[in-house]
This record gives sequence, structure tokens and C-alpha cells, in this order.
Amino acid sequence: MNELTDLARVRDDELAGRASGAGARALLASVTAVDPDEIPHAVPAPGNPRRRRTRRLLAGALATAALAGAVVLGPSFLEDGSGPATSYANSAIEVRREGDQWIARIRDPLADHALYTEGFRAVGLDVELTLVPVAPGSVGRLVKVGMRDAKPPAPGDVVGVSGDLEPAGCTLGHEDCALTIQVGKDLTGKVQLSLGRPARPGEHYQSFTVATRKGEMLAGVRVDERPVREVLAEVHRRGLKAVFEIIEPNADGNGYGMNPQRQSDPVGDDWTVWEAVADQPGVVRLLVSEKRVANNPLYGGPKPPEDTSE
Amino acid sequence: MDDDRRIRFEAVYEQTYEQILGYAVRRCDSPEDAADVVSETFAIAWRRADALPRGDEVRLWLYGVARNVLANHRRGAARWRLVALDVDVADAYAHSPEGGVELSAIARAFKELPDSDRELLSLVAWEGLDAGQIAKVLDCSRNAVRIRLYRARKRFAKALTGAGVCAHRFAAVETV
Repeated sequence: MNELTDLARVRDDELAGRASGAGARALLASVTAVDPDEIPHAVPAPGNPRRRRTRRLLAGALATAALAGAVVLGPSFLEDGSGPATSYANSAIEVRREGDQWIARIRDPLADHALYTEGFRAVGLDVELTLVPVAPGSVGRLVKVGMRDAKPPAPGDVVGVSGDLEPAGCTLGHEDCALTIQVGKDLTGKVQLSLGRPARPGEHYQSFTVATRKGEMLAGVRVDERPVREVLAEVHRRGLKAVFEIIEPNADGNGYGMNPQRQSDPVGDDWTVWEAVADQPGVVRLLVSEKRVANNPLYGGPKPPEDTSE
Repeated sequence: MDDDRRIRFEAVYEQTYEQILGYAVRRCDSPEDAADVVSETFAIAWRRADALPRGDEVRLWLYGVARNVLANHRRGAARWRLVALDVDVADAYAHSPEGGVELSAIARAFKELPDSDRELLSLVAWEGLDAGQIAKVLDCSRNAVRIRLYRARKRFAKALTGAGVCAHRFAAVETV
């Protein structure tokens, strides 16, 4: 199959040495900087597709306790020439040092990003924070983490990054409830974070959130492997709207493709729904296909039953 | 976070980074997508570091994860984006395969195969895996892989003939 080999964009041997390059080292530092239980992923592992459901962040509990007695110093602290501040606040964000962590508390989730950057820079951190609209269950989660020029941490270094709602599980808009970010004191390099905030009407969610989970729009409704007509009836019964994403399952039901050109094709009542995800407030996106296959193509098997719960 | 976990993960990372990078670069149309797939694959591996298989099986396990990451990529799942890696990956896209007209006919025939055929043939031609190894990546039996591979090759040979490319080398490829 020489000709097929030649079609490959690159051979592994042409990539020799990359593992010790800057990109690879930065990725290693970035991946291992996060406590393994903190970042949720929607991607199933091979063989036994399951979603990690961990939502609670260990660091959050510590942060909540530590914040109780904290004092906020304003920008004037910087002007006395004593170097980076240990705390800073502007109209958008407060950043302060608590033990081994920097704790950033978002005062205004819709502020200009530059104000967040300014807050982090004041305490000597190169953090670029973006707040992105997400489904309610993902508010307070980091949906993207990127790092550049990070040095691999030495043993004992505190380099974890996490997002949280504080106090834990509170509802934004209620008094004293805020989005927070924790950054380990030994983290180096440039960090880019996207933190989930509530969406405004009409904003598309920038997270992949299964809509049948507890607390989501179709909590407890079985949608997978049912005909479009039945799922739509349930969607309308709940006063919601639906949009379609037409997918093309692989023949064996393991994985699928999506043709952007075919997304406005008419969807038949008898097509199969494989999953429902939160699209925007009041709107769910149904992943549907005309062809029915033996396995749910999103999961390569049945959808995990715990993802449908009230 | 215990140190054993970190040490073990770092060893796996060193050993497999280039192979996973290659896997992603060969299958993604853009460097950004390839960077996402590599980042996401290792982020998953880190979270499951306690469950990583030993020896060469870890590479096969990671191919399986990367395959699922790719399949889910279009869903817009929450992803990791590492800017430095984009740059690192971009130059892997700088040189395109050579070979002119005949190769592009082969490329077209290959592109038109069902996804599952392409994946099987790629795992053989690009990752150099045999049926037993592919069975581990796809989590199915070796025999199933052999049968599917046989059919995939037949379909590919037929597509090549249809495209006017001499196909005997493909039809008669070694069995694995």
C-alpha cells in the first residue's frame, strides 16, 4: 500500500524530536496543571463510552473558606513602587492571593475582557480570560484552557487551574454568588481561559451540554433512538423549540460525519434522534439521521443511562 | 495529585506524543484541528492516567481515544486549545504529499470510501498496525477486523479501477 502511505500528510519519523519541543512541553505542562478530576469532557473513551460527570472542584471548597476574611486592595496599592500587588480589584474582577492560590472573583461577567487581563496582570499573572455563554449546568466551568511558555512544574509546585461558582452551587444573580477562577501560585507562562457564564437570550451556548441531564431543558426525557416526531412532541410540550443537526452515522454506528451543506434538508418525522444538546436558552439541538444504525453513533453503543435524569 | 501518576503519565507522553501528533495531522484538514485533537487526547489520558494500559498497548489505547475525539470534534464539544501547539503543528502541514496526477486520483478514490474503510486502511498504511492491534484500537475482535479489512481493500481496489488507476498492488496487498 505504498501509494496510500504516500497520501499521508506526514510520517511519524518526520516528527521525531517533537516530543521535546516547546509545543509538546507546553502541552504537557498545560494538561498536567489541571487536577484530573476538574475538567469535564464530552468525549467517550474507546470501548466503553462514558462521560465524566465530575462537576465539583476541590479547590472551590478551600477558596470559599479562605475568602471569608480577605481584604481587597484597590489599584492604588500598585503605585507605591513595591512591585506586583498581592491583590487587585477593578469594576470587572478582584484578584487576591490566598495561601498557595490566586483567587479571581468575577464582579461583572459581561465586562470587557481587557479588564480581566488588567486584574491578573496587576498581581503578576499573564492570564487572558474570556467568559463564554454556556448552558446552566456548565456555568462556572472552564470550557477551554490553553497555556504557552509554561515550564513543567517541579514536585510540590502548585499549578492547578480551575473554575467555580462561589459559594459552591449558588445561582448567579443572587447576592454574594460569583464566578471564580483559581490559579496555582507556581504557574508560569501565558494562560488562556474560557469560563462558562450564563447565556443571554438568543446567545448560542459555547459548550456541549447534553439537554437530558438533571437541571437541563429536557431533564429526564429519553430522546436517544426515538423517532423525531415523538421527541418533537415532548419538546413542544415543554414550551421549547428544537433545531436539527443532521448527522451521517458510520455503518457500524461508531462515530458519524456531518455535512454542512446538507443542514437545511427537510427532516422526516420518522428519522431517528440520537442526542439532544442545549443550543441556546429555550432551544435544544437534536442530532438526527435518516438512517438508523445498530449503535448510537455518538457513543458507539447505547447512550449512558445516567445522562438522562431528573 | 500524586507524583506516581505524574511520572507515569510523563513517560507515556514522551513515548507517544509524536505518534498521536502524526495520527491527528494525517486526519485533520487544519493544524488547529490537529492541535485540538492532540491536546484533548492527552487531557483525557491525564484524567485516566490510573487506567492507562502498559507497554505498546498504551499507544493503541491512545489511538482509540484520538479516534473518538476526532469523531466528536464536529459536535463542538468543549475543547482544549493550546496556542503554542498550533504553531508547532502548523509546519507539519507545510509540505504536502508528492506524486502528481495519479496520486490525486488515488486520494479522491480514497476519500470517497466509507469512513470506516478509510480508517481501517489508514491504520494499516499510516500507523503500521496489524489486525490484532487494530482490534485493540477499535475494541472489536481480530477476526472482525480481518473481515472488514478484506472488504475495505476490495472496495478501494474497485474504486481505484473506476478512477483508472492500476489497482493490482492494492488488491493484492499483504494480509495482516
